[in-house]
Amino acid sequence: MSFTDSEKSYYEILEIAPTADSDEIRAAYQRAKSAYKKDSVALYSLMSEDESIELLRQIETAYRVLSDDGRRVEYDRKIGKAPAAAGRVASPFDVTEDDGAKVISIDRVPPMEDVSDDENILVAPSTDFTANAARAAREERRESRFDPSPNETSSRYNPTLQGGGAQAQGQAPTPLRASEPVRVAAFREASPTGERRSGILGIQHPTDSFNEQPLKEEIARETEWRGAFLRKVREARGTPLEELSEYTKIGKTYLIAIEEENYAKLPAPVYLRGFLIQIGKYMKLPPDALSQAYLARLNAWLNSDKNKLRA
Amino acid sequence: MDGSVKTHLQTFEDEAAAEPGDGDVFFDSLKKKRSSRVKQIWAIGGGKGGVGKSLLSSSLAISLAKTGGKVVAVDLDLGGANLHTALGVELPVQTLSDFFANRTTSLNDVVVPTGIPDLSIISGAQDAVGVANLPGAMKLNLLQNLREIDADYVVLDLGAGTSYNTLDFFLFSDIGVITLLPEPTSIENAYRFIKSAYYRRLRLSQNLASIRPLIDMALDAKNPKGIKSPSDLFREVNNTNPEAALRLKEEIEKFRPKLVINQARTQTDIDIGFSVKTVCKKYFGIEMDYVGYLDYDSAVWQSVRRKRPLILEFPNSKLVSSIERITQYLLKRHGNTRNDLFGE
Repeated sequence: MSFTDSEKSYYEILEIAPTADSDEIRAAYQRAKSAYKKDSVALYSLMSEDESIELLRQIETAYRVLSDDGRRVEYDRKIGKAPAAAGRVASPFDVTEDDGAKVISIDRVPPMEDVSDDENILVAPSTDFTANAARAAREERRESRFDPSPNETSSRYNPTLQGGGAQAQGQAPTPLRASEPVRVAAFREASPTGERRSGILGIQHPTDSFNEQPLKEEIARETEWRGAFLRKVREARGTPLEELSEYTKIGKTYLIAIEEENYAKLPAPVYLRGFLIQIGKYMKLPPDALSQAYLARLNAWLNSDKNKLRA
Repeated sequence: MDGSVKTHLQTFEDEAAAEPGDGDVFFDSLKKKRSSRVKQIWAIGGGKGGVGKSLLSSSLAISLAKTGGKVVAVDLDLGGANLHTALGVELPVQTLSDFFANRTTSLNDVVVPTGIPDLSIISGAQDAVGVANLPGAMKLNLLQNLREIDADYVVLDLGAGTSYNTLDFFLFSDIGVITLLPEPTSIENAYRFIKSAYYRRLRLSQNLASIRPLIDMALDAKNPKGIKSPSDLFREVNNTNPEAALRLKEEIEKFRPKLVINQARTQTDIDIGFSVKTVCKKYFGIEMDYVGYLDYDSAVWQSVRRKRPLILEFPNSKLVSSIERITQYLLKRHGNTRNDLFGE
C-alpha cells in the first residue's frame, strides 16, 4: 500500500490488520473516533482541525464498510485485486499488509494491568502487538478474571451481571421504567465510597475485554431479549444511542422506547420487527430470536390490553 | 511551533559549528564503551515542568531497587536539580558539579547512598552558573561515563524543555519515558519534546546520513519542498530514494518512547493516553507504548511537603501499586532493549 490518503485501505485507516474481527473493528473505530474528535486534547498543537475532520471522515467511511459483513467481503475482493504499488516502501505511518498480523493493541487499559507479580519478568509478555497475541492475552485475562480466589481480580467480575436474564424470567411483561438501573452501567460507576477505579482494580471500560467476555456468555444464554438487556449490551459496549441511531436509521425516540419497553410509543409491530432486526444486526445479536421474543411480549401486552378494554 | 523548530535549527547549526560533539566523532567515541556494567538506562522526560518527572523518576528508581537490582538515580535536570529532595536526601556534598569541574574523573566518585537499600543518587549540579548549557564535550564525557556507573540500572531524571542536552540524554537511554498531564499545555509540550527528539534522532542516525539534508529541511518550516510533517519527509524520501526510505522507516520504528499519564482523575484522562498513542502513530509513524497512568492523589503533595519519598511514605497506596506495575511491565516487556542509536 502506498502513501497518499486516497490509496489508503480502510484497514490502514482504522489501524487494524485485515484479519481483524468485528470486535476489533469496533474497538479500533471507537479508539480512532475518540482520538480525532473535535476538542480531542490529544490533537492539541499537532494536527489542525481540517486534518482531523478529514481523518474523521475517512474513519467513518472505513467503519461503514468494514462493520457491514456484506460490504466488507465486497471491499476485500476489490482491494485484493488492486496491485501493490511497485518500487515503494511501505509507510511506517500505517499498519500495512506486509506487516501481516501486526496491529496496535485494541485494549484500552494500559498494559500495567496485565503484569502480575509472580510472573517471570524475563519471559516476554503475551501482550504483544499482534492480533494473535492480543487474542491470547485476552483469553489469559479472561481466565484470571474467573479466578475464584478472594483477591482483587475476582472483585472485577461482578456476578450480578449474570443475573439479568434469569431475574427477569417469570415476571409479567410490564413495561420497564426508565429509572430501572442497568447493572452494567452501575458496575462501571465509581464505588460508593468515592474511590475511583484504580490501576490495581482494573479499569472498566466499554471496549474493555474484561467486560466483553462475560457479556458474550450472557448473550449466548439470553432468551427474553428485553429492552433493558438491549440497553445493557449497548452500554457495555460503549455504543452511544446516537451511533446506533445513525447506523440503523431508527430515530432515537424509538430506540429509547424499545429499550424502555414503552409499548405505547412503539410503532406498529410490522415496523418494529424491522427495527429490532436492524438493532440485532448492528449490535451483533441474533436478529430473528431477538425480534420474535420481543414481539411476542408486545403482542401479549396488546391482547391483554384489548381484553382489559372489553372488560 | 514552527517558530520554535526554526530556532532549533539555528541552534543546531550553531552548536554543530562550535562543537566537535556531533556527527561521526560523537559516535565513534561512544561506540568503544559498549561493554558496560549497567544493564539499562532509563530516562524520564516530558517537556513541561511540573508534570511529575522527579516524582516518577524517584519512584521508578525505588521500585527498581526493590526488585533486587542495584540502582543509581541521576539528576540531569541541570540548573533545576531536586531529585535528592524527591528521594528524601539532604543535598549531598558530592554532586555532578564535581564531575563537570574535573575534580573527579569517574561518576562513581559522586554516587551517594540514599539510605534506601540498593539505591544511590548522583545529585544534580547546584552551583556552577551556566551548567544548564552543558558544552558538547562535557555532555559526551557524561554520556560515556553513565554506562560505567557501578549499578544494574541507571535512572535519569531529565529537565523540562527541549534543549539538546535533554534530548540527547533521552535518546541515549534504553527506555525513554515521557510523562504528561491530561491538559493542553502539558500535551503541547510533550508533542514538542517528541517532535524534537524524533528529528534529532533521525538527524543523529548514521544510517540516514545520505538524507540528512532532507531531514534538516523538515526542521525548516519554510523549506522549498514543502516538507511539513514526518509523513511529508517520508514521501519525499520514498519518491527520490526508496532504499533510503526503507532505512528511514526502520529508524522511525526504532524510536519507541513510553508514555505515562500522571494525575489522571477520570476515565477520559486515562483514555487520553490511547489517543496520544493513536495520534503519534498517525503523525510520527511511531509505536508509542502507553505503559500506565498514575491517579491524581493528594497524598503526593503531603509527601513532597514532608520531603519523604512517596513510595516509602504510602507503601499501600494505589499510586505506589501503579508505579510498581509500570516498573514490572517495563522490565518484562522492554527489559532487554538496548539503544543502538549510538552504535552497537
